[in-house]
Amino acid sequence: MPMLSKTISAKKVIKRHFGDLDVELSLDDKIVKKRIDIDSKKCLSCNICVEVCPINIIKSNTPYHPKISKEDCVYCSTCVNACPVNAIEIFHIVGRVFKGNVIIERWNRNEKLIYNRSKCVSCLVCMKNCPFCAINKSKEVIEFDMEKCRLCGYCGYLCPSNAIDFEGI
Amino acid sequence: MSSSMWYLYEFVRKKWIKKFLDAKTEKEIVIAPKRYRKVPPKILYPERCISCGACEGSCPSFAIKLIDNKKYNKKIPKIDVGSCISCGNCVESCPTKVLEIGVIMEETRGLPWNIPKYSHVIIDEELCVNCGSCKLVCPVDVIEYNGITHVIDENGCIGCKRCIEACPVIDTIKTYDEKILKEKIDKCQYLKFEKLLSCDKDSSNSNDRNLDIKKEKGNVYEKISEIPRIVKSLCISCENCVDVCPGNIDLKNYKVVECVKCGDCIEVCPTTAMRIGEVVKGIKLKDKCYIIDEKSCIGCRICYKSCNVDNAIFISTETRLPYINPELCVRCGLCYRECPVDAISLTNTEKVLEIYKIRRIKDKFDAIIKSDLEELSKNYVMSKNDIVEFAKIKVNKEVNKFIKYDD
Amino acid sequence: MNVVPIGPIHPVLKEPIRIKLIVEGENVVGSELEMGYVHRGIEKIMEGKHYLKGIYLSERVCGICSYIHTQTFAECIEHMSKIEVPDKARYLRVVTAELERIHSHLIAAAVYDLSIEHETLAMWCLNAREHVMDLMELITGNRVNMGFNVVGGVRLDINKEIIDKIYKKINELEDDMKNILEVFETGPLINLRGEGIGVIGYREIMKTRAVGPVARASAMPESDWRLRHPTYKELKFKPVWRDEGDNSARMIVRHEEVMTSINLIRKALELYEESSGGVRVKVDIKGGSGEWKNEAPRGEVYYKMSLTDGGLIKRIMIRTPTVMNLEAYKYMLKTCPTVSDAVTTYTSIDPCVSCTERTIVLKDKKTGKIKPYSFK
Repeated sequence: MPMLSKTISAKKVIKRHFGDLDVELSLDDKIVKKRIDIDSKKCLSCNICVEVCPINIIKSNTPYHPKISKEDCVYCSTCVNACPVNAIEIFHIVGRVFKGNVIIERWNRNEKLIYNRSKCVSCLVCMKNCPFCAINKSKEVIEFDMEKCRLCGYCGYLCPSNAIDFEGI
Repeated sequence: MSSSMWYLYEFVRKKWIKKFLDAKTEKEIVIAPKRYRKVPPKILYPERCISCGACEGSCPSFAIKLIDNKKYNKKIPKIDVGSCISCGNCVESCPTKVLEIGVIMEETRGLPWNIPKYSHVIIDEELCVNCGSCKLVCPVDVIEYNGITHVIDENGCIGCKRCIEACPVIDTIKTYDEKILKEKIDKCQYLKFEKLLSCDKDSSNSNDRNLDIKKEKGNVYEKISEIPRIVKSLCISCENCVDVCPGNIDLKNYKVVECVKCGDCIEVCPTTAMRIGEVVKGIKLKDKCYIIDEKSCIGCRICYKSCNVDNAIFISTETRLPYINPELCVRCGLCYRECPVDAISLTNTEKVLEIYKIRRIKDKFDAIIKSDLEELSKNYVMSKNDIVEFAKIKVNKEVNKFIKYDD
Repeated sequence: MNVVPIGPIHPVLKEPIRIKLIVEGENVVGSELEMGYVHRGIEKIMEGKHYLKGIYLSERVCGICSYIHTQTFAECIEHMSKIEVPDKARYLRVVTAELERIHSHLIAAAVYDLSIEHETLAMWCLNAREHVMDLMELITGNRVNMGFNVVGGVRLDINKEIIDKIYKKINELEDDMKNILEVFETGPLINLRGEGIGVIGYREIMKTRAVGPVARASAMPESDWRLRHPTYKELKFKPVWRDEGDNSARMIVRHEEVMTSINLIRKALELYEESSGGVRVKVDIKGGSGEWKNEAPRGEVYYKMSLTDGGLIKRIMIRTPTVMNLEAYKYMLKTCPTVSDAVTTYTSIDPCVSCTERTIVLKDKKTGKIKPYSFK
């Protein structure tokens, strides 16, 4: 279950174009914002996160807490799971347009990967860019190796045709 | 003795008696010189005559009349010997070289010349639909399309009036003859003279063309409702209008500069080139109309492209084939001539009207739906952009709420 | 004071005009001229007609000098619409116009000779004229109203055979004319009737604006419009003139002009043989108005006209030479001792009454007010 669910009416925006017509708009596009933070008060500077990061973007900064370069982070949650004191926090803010309303949800990590084969254009952008090499191509069908996949959501961000979707808690 | 013998011999000589009887009646044969123009002109090749009446119109002394001839089964010129002045105009104007006088035809064959006429024809550009029917029937090929309208070359026209018969729109090709022109010039002179006299009466204001003074004299000048316009193709620059106008007309640019709305220029114009109000296209052939056979039509739309009348041919959205509007079609037959597969034929107007109504209603219905859809999809795209922007703003706000640690 | 009326129908007058001679005894002291018997309104008939029909009407303005009227008409339109006439046509026009001048002058001489009762000389003149008429028929196809001129050139071309004939006949004519001129200059009776009678001086000519041979006999050579004509400039034309100003001077000017015309014809024919091309061009008439002057046998003939775009005549004005010459007649009468001299003087100005009568006056039906006919 998403942690936060907010519904904001977008009727004013619709009215601007359609006038008094009763229109309910739904869009497939999602607006996703992610953020990763280290709580400097809780952090012990044990540098475990530096060791576990699969793409080596956390740099140790002893005696202070390590630094994460936010531009390169793929939000794979490995460091969150490894932190002994739960000092690292990730949250996703997802905005969706559904029946004339903007629904805003917040979750901490992705729970489920939904692959829509009919939307896929087989561009293989996801396969080339997956940080864990969890995506394979066999006979023009894309297969996800769920053992390797950490549900980081990077492929969903890259996909040009919105074929990969995520649900989270 | 011998003398009596001689007389006897003379009597028995051949043809003597005949010579004696004819003595007074036998004319002295005078062979006229070759160039001498015998009166009247000879009709050398009557079988070539096309009964156009060019010779009749060109004669300055009205000596020629076209008369039905049973032998050739057509009209052939008959020349009045008493009136003929042996000028040779008829010989030069004949397009098929039927006549001859002296050696004019023989010597000037093929030379270009202008043809005098009694009645002149001129095309009204406001009514002309540029169908080219007149061009097809012209026996001397003097009608040309100049990009705006069809124009008759005044110098080469022989005045046979076949173009008037061929033209589908009533009164598009106007005629004016010597008599009308003369009447109009007389009228113009009369009006001008009247004005000259009235100017004399108040000799203190002899600087005429002063519009204010004339307006004060009473509202006799507000006879017409609007300022007249000049139709360019009809104007023969006779300057009758300039002569009678109390205001100012710029005939070089076909413009009425100053106007007191007296309406005199409309009265004196011989070709109705001065005009007020709209002109209506009158159709000669109202019972029949062209129809496009949808079975044989290949949908090339040549008829649609060639038609010069606005809104006379529509393209059906249902069948993608053209159909004709019988209310606006002038029956010029341009589409009929242009059609590559002979799909266009002539039938009753009612039949065409029926088909036209069905097609038109369907088209209109389709057009309404199409325009609505277009509008909706346009609005959808616009509103989508706006909503995404709106959502982004909201999401950013939400993110800002959760930031606990500043970098 | 007595009045001797002559005309309108009288054996000495070729055309109807009424001359009232005011006499004191045998002496003529004044005269009154009355016209209007043959007014035909040709300008009014021409209105609204095509120019190719109008040219035949203009030909019928005058019975003797018919050709020069068509030439002036055609050249007026050519001047207005800026039409280039082919060289051959220009020289042919000169040849025909000069032939007509010869024929007109010979008639004038014959009429004058008859009026001074010298019938032999008159017959000689008419005899010579007959050959000129034959030449005109040879060139144009007709003898008087030729229908030869059209706007943009002439109707027919001539060939080598015709040129040879013209040369031959002109040479014969020159011999005849030399004979006639010698007789005219030396004949005592002829000079008795002519010299010192009907004198008009240079100043009076300026007053009356007389034209043609009348003016040239009174020392005004510049009155010849052929000096200003482009084709005649090419032919290096020089006018004939005298300064006596009496009857015989006028007639001698005419006789000598015949000789000049013969030379002009020779020159024009030479140039004609050198030039090539057609005799006629296709013309495109533009609307507008214009004027042109030419030298008719009797003097200056003036055309002013306005046309529409297709070449329809809207308005036309013609002025013929005799109008001014008749005015000069009044001054000549002062030196006429007898009535018969007055008649001789009248014939010596070579009047052409039919072409003179062409005044148009606008008259209001109601008020009876009269306005002069203004062209524009």
